[in-house]
Amino acid sequence: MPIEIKTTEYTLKIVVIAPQGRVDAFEAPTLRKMCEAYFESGVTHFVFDLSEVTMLDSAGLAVLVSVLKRTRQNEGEVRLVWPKHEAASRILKLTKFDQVFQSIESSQIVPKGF
Amino acid sequence: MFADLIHLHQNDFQTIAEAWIRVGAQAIRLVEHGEMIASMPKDISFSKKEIIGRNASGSLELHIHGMNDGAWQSIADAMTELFSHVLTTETEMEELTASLVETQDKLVALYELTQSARRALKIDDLLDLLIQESRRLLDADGAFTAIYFNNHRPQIRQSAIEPLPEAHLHAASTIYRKDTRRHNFKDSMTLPRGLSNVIMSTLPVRENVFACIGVFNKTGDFTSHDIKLLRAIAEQSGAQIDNALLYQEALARTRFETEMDLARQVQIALLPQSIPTLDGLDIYGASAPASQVGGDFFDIIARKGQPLVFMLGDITGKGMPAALLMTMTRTTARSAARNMPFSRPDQIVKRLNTDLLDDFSTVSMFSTAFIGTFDPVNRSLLFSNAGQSPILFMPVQGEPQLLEAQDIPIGIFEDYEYISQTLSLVPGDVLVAATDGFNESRNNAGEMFGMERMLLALKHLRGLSARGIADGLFKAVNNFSEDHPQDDDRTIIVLKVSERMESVSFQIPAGYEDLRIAAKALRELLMLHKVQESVINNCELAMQELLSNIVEHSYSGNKDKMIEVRLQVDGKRLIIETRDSGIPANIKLESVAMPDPLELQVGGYGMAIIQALMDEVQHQYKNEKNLWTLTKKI
Repeated sequence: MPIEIKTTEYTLKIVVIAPQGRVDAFEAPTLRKMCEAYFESGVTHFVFDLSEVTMLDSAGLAVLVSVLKRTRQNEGEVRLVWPKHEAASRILKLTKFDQVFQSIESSQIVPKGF
Repeated sequence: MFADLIHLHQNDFQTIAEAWIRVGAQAIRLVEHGEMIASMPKDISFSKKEIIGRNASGSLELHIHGMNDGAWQSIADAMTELFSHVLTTETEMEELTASLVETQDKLVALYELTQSARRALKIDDLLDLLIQESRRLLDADGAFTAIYFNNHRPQIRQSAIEPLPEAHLHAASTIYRKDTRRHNFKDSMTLPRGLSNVIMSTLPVRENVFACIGVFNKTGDFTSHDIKLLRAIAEQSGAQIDNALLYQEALARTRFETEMDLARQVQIALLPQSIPTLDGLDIYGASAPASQVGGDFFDIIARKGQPLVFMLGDITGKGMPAALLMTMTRTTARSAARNMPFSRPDQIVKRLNTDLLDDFSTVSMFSTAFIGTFDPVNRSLLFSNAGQSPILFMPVQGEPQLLEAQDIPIGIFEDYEYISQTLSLVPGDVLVAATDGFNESRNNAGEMFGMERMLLALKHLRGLSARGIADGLFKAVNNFSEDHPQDDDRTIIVLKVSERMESVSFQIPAGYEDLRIAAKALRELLMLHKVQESVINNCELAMQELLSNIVEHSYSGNKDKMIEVRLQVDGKRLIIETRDSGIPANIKLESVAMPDPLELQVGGYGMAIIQALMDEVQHQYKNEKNLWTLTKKI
């Protein structure tokens, strides 16, 4: 008698967002809108690949924080790929968000990150 | 000549004649020099019997015909003498009257001429007036003047019914000039064709100029009266012509001086009107030409993104030739320094030599030149010295030294390879580039100012600003040379290396995109000052946060509003100042704290970030403006 197997399929939607250049007050609204669209489409896991970000200010940071906040409500997660440029990483250290966001080495290994 | 006058005394003669007839005479005649000038009765055959009365000189005789009684002889003589006396007096009266009338005519004519002449300031107008009036007064066909400024060809003006060729009038004046005692010419053998008669007189002007006036072709002949009048006119007009000549010369001289003055103004305008300012360098230049125009030049040119260029030079020779070449050299040098992609002085000098060699060779002149560039970032001075002296370097520590010229002046050899030398400077170092008008200035005793005195003066002046040093040196040379006239142009450039201090001010619209303009300006300024990259990043982030706050809170994102930004580096600190006219910032700086990241606040980090990054953060609300000042040691 065949064993009874119950299967449950989960689909985890992960999006990798890799901005290039400055993520400042001018670019932040674009990034925010993009993230909202992903939330709408059911994405719960976000990877922000900041490796090519040359500058991050508090407006850019605010987008990351708001996404983190919302994923937590949706039982999602946020991972950061750490910026190579000091002008981008500086603010994360200053505000101690480096201790809040979990980071991964590279966006190439995304599935393992969760 | 009583014959002309006897008619005036016809009645007297008649009375005497009638008296003689009553005592028996048949006819009475008055005879002057054997010629009858009066008789009564008119037609009568002579009787042989006669008494002849004579005056004392025997020139006048009274013939009494039909009487021979010797008793009447003495009465006849007395009567003749009396008649002779009356007629003589009459003649003198007549002559006196004629002379008076003539004098009066002449006076009126001269008066009119003088009056008109006074209004004629220009020599040509005066001469025209003179010949027209002379012609009119002497009633002749033409008149002319000839003025010999040199011995060859006179300047001739004429006024005539039928003007004559100038050569003919020239010939007439030449004949007269041979013997100016003769005034009247009517000899058709000696006179040029077309001149039937001419009278000439000398116009008494200055010694080295011969001038004469001639009046020609009068119907009939010129009289001695005409000659007298012409001489009077000439005598009277000489002084006027001399005045007009003086005036004309003064006018020409004034015009020349005006043109020289204009040339000088052009030259002065070509010298830098303002000295560019450069952070880290106090530089000044000035020039004092010896004559109205000079052969020295200098220039100081700030070039965007490239080291500052300064140059100084001296064209051989003085006056207009040197001035013309100076203008050319200076323009070529400026263009080479400004428009060519040359970064090294030797390239500019070589270019000058190539461009100007032909022109300089043609006139056998040349120019010395000192051209330097100064880069305030690494404080390096590059210079090329084409025969310029003196160049004095006074390091802040150590003895002043004379930098000898390494290369030959420009305009001598084609393809000469000029070189650049380098000097690394520190704040306080002074470089003085001057022309030899300084050290070669002389005093009344003939002594030269010399290099020793120049160095000594500079030692005392070195503590002053670049301008103070230059002014001081000008003064030292002036004091030395006293009232001895300045022989040569004096031109100087003084460089004094200073601590750098730089600021940049601008306005940006209150839009997030425009904040990047400020970021770029800040980054450039700090990079220029070789500030560490990490420090630049911190400063940029702090300013970005401040400007974002202003856009968001003060102006509520209204892009029509402007934010004033001033960035200043004073050697050790960066000062960022902003002014905006938005809502007064309501913030207590001392109670700002970084939000706990675990709270996941989506805002409120800005001011805390600024305070974490900067050494000082100040806010004031003044004159309806928010004034933010951020300071950071760099």
